Amino acid sequence: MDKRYAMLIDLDKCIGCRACELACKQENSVKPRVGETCDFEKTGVPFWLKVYTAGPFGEYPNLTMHYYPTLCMHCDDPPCMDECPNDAIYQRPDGIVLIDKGKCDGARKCIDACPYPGVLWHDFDEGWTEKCTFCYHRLDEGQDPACVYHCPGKALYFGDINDSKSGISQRLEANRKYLLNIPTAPHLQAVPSVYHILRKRQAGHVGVVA
Amino acid sequence: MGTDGIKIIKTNCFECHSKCGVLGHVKNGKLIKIEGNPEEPRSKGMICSKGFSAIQMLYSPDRLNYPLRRTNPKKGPGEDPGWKKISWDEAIDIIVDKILKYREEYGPQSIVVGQGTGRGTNQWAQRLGNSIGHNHWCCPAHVCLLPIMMTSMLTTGFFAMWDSPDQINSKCYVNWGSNSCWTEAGYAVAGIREMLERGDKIIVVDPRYEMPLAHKADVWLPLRPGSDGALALSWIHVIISENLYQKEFVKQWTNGPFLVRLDNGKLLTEEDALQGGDELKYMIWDEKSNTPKVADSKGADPVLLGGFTVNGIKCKPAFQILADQAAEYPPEKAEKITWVSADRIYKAARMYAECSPGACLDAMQGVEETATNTSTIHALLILMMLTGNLDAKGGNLWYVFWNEMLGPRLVGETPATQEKYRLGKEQGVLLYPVSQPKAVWEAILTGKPYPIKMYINVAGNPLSWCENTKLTRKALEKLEFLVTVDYVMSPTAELSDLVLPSAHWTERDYIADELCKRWEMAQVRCVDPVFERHSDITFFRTVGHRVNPEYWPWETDEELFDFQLEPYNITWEQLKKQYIVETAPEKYEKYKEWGIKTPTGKFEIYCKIFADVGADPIPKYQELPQTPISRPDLAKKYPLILTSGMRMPSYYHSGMRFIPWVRAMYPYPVAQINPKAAKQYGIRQNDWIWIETTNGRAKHRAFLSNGIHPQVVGAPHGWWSGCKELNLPGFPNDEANINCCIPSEEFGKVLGTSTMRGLLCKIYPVKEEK
Repeated sequence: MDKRYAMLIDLDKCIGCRACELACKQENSVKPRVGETCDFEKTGVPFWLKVYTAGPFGEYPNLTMHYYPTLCMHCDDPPCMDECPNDAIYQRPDGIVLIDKGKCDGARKCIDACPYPGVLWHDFDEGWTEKCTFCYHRLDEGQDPACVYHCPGKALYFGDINDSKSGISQRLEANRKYLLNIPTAPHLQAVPSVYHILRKRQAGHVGVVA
Repeated sequence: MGTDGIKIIKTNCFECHSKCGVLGHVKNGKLIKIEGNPEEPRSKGMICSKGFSAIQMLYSPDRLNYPLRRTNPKKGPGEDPGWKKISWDEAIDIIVDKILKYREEYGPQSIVVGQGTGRGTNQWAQRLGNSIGHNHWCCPAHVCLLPIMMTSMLTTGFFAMWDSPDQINSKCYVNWGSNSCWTEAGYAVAGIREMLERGDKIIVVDPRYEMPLAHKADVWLPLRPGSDGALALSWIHVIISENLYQKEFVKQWTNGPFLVRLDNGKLLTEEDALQGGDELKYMIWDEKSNTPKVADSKGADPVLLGGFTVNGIKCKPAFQILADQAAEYPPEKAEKITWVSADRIYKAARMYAECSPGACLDAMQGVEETATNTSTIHALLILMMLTGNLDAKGGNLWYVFWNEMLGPRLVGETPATQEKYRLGKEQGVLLYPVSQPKAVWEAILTGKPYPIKMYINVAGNPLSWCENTKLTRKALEKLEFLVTVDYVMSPTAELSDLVLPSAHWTERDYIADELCKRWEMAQVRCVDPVFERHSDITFFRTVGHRVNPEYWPWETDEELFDFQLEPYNITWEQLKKQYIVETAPEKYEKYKEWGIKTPTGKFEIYCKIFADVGADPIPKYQELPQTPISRPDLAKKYPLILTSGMRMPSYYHSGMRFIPWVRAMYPYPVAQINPKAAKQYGIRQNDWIWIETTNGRAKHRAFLSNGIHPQVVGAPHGWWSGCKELNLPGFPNDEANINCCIPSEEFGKVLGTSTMRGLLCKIYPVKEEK
């Protein structure tokens, strides 16, 4: 069977330090941008990986909360790929979804098509849209993606989910009942390859991103 | 060197004290990437967002590159300093001339050496002071480091805080007024992540829910800022009254059994008990013989509780007095003072005690930055004593560098006049061994008790770190000669007469020592320094060598490193080759072999030195100067409680706001307020607001959060700099500087600390100014 790369994010271990965001920026030379210099409505959020805080929910001091890292979900049958008018988005046999920057003309249909928040962003200076590549250049050299390698809380797991013996497969199996259901547009067959698990799940927690 | 032309340099980060092990990737003499080094035994390959910003820090256009000399003597807002570029050697000549001139005319005490939190050179800054002739060490140590370090050294003989929690072997982690997950991940997170994986117990004591661990905790104690002392005593009460303490440990290793005279509060000595007795021997009550005996008498079984009369003197064991004082704060009563529900207090205290020995406690600036810090910190150390966690596996460990760092070998001999010229002494600061910053500013302004003429400020920005910014600014504007050595043109550098460019950690050699647990590491440079930047070590050594070569005999930095490394039988050359050296073996309960380095030879429930200077020898709780309880009158005008110094993971104190990568993560100074408070005061999300206290005000952006009590405002520190690349504003004239809000008059007597957490404030929207 072909490899199918996936990421598992253990939210019980994510400490919200956002080191992954900068590991990603350094590795992939992602430009820093903030709201004042770009319009998120038009550009998407200028991170390939971003940690949100879900919550706090409830009334002080009876609260719940978790951190929630988001990145490209590298979906099976990715809607962004279908919607790109220039065929600039393609999927490798191992499941990684990539944008060919040379073909991208900045139509930004992908940003609208993606059912997940904060995944793609468009660089008006360069005229292309970009997103997480699962650090395929590192994978091809036998290394984990930069965010996984550097996560201080060791909350990120990466590997081949088609291999039932891989660490990620076993961890996913053991925690299947703790998987977070991420609300997606149901008509899209966007089955993600990024899994979030949360054992301390409580009412009001699920999928809410602040 | 790899085939791709990339050279990998094994070194340690210094974007903060944590000094995580990193691998610098260098190509064609340029640093292109920083990765974590999995071989480093503490951090195990992780680094944080601060570390990742190293490349942008090294090559930032905002960095200082050449020494600059002021040509316009007028200082202050709107004055152009008229900077003139000079050479490094010229700058050092000027500094040495000034030191010699002022020392001759006004005495060595007229020259201050200071720093901020610094960049790992505490010992060398103090050594320069000592070598000039007086060690002021004007720095924020009164609110950061010395409260926990001194209280711990005085009562346990070692530094049982900061990097001491042995999370990796622990069953229970208490995170009390500390955000180590974000600020100094290197010493904490590698252990905490194992604890999370294992499902160990986590207890968080913090007013803010939006810190990294509160939501993961088994118990979160959301206390009123500054009420930590009452909470700690309440834990002590639960642990003693429910018999959850390690009785044998307390009897044998603490001075809990020592008898305290009820007439004068002093320890009962053998001299008090019988004629011709030794005044340095302390007495216990022996249960077996029902008689008083000298502590540690063979076969004696000391009692911990009760009241006795010896030679006509009424006394009680120190432990009994502790129990009495703690009994004033049963959880039901503590709930009213601290706002933490009694059931949470019971649950946490029992959890900590039941996991002991093998439970560790991590307390930092949340407990340091108040006027009553020493009592609170002593109470926390007593918790470790009661539960037998001092230097126990999984508890709070003894790392030897701390005993060495501020000792005379590295700091140099302190001149005999140190106490005579210690600023703050006349204002009543009892035990702070160097000058209280506030007293330094006052001496600059008044010339009393003696004139201050020169201030050498290395890796520091007092206009950011010091409370009561107005006073600091006034003093620095008046000062005759201010030297600043730093990465960038900070607000303090702008007021300087001479500014020198400091080399970044990626371009300097140094030894990673403090916070490195039982190791020291070679922090070698990745690239050679560019422009005329030099290492802070080089600065201290070259100035010192010319002023006092007896203190500074070393011709090169390498010779200085060799000197520091002597106790570990290794040279700098060797350390560079092997990267790391063990400074102590992995061993627990070292006090059994080495002895306990306190005045009474025991872990001190009764702190002898506090007693000697007239401070509380056994912790008592006292309300802070400005709270709704201590000042109900003031609370009418200032109804909210401010806790300042709220940390973000991507900033090291007042630095780094000019670095685009990290500034994009946290673009503005945000104050956390509860939506209920926001509604009451007409504030919407992201509005600019003023936080105002009796001392002044500072501008922040409102961030509404359920994670904070409706009566509490959380605010960060360190905001001054803009970020050109992101077109984000700076905050000139201290307008977003939270230290403008912190009064300096009502400080704690023991260490001279002002209250930065737990003082009264009010908030209101910033009106558009036309």
